[in-house]
Parts: sequence; structure tokens; C-alpha cells
Amino acid sequence: MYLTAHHVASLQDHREGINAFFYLHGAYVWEGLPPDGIPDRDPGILQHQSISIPPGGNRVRSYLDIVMPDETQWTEIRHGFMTFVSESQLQQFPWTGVIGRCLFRIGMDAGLAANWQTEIANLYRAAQAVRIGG
Amino acid sequence: MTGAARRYDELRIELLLARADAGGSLPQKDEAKFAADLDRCWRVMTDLEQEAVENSLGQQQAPRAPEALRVVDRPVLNGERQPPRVSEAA
Repeated sequence: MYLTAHHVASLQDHREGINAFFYLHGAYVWEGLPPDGIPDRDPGILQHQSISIPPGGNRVRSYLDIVMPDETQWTEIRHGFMTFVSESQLQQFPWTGVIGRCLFRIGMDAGLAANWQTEIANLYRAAQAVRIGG
Repeated sequence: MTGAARRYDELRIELLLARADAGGSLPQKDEAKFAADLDRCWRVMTDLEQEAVENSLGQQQAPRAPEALRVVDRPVLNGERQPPRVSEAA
């Protein structure tokens, strides 16, 4: 499973919003790091998306990636995410970490990093919602 | 780090996620419970731990980050196997 939320800015009218995407991988099951190529070369099959700014050349200002086996329950993701943020919070962006069988990545530009906690909460909420919506 | 200091750190992240889970803000009674739990941890932490938390909170206000990510999004249809963002250079 690959959940990703992007804070994007339109280059045309400068509107900003959060888009989120929910992919599934099917039979893959793993512990620790996901198999090679997931999610950058093989994000899985897109199941559902939540769009506030139509994609296509928008500048990505921040992102949250969560990668885990399809059957992972949200409670495991939430616990891993809490640990990931706790361990990463003094580091510079981008953050990457593996907690159990969940891979987390967060990146954001300097303009958003000033309010990083709110930004992460917004991305997390969008990722959670698109998964439920799917 | 003692158990109290570790718990204090966990509570701060839990509060962040709980607010997100609730759609942005928590009911007053839930906020009050978090505040009470944080206060309880704070009172049993050592002076050095409290100082470390205060210092880390100061640093957290602006973690270093690049001016721009140099990444753009792209449209993907349901059922496709394409990532939804790519490097600007791609």
C-alpha cells in the first residue's frame, strides 16, 4: 500500500491545496524496507484519489509518503508515524524512516517548515482520509 | 532520557495526531486531558530534561528545509501504475 499526500501550488493561478493518492500492491508482503522500486518505480495500482488542485505541473511544496503491506491496519501506521515524527523532529527535511514494516517520508519547502507541525498534521489527515475514501 | 521525558515527547506527537484525526481541533475536555498529562510528566522531569525540551521546542520552530523541492505533480488515472509526482528535471 502506498499513501501519499501532496501540498501543491498551481503555477497558473497560484491556488494551493492538498491532493492525496491511495495505491495497493496486491500480493506483496514484507518486513522492514519495502521491496526494491516501491514506491518510486512501482507505486502499485492507484485505487482512489482526493483532488483539490487538478494535477499536472503543479509545484509540490510538501509531501508525506507512507508505504506498507496492503493489509496493515491504521493503528499500526499511526503508531509507526508517531515514532517516526518523534525520532525525526530535530532533523532537517526531508525525513525518511522505517518503523516496523512502514516506510515514511516527509519533505517540505522552507516556507512551510516554519509551521511544520500543522503541515504534517494536514498531510497525515489527507492520507488517512483518502485511504478511508478508497 | 527518563520514562517521563520520553512520555512527554510521545504525548506531544499524540496530541498532534489526535488533532489531525479529529479534523483539526479536539474537544476542550480532550485538550484538557492532554494538558494535564503533559503537566504531570513535566513536573517529574529533571531540570536538565525540562531544559532539553525547551531547547528542542525552540529548534522545532523552523527545521532546516530546502527553498524548493523541485518536484511537480502529474495526473494519474485510477487503475494506473504511475507515481503522482516527478522531479522537475524529468
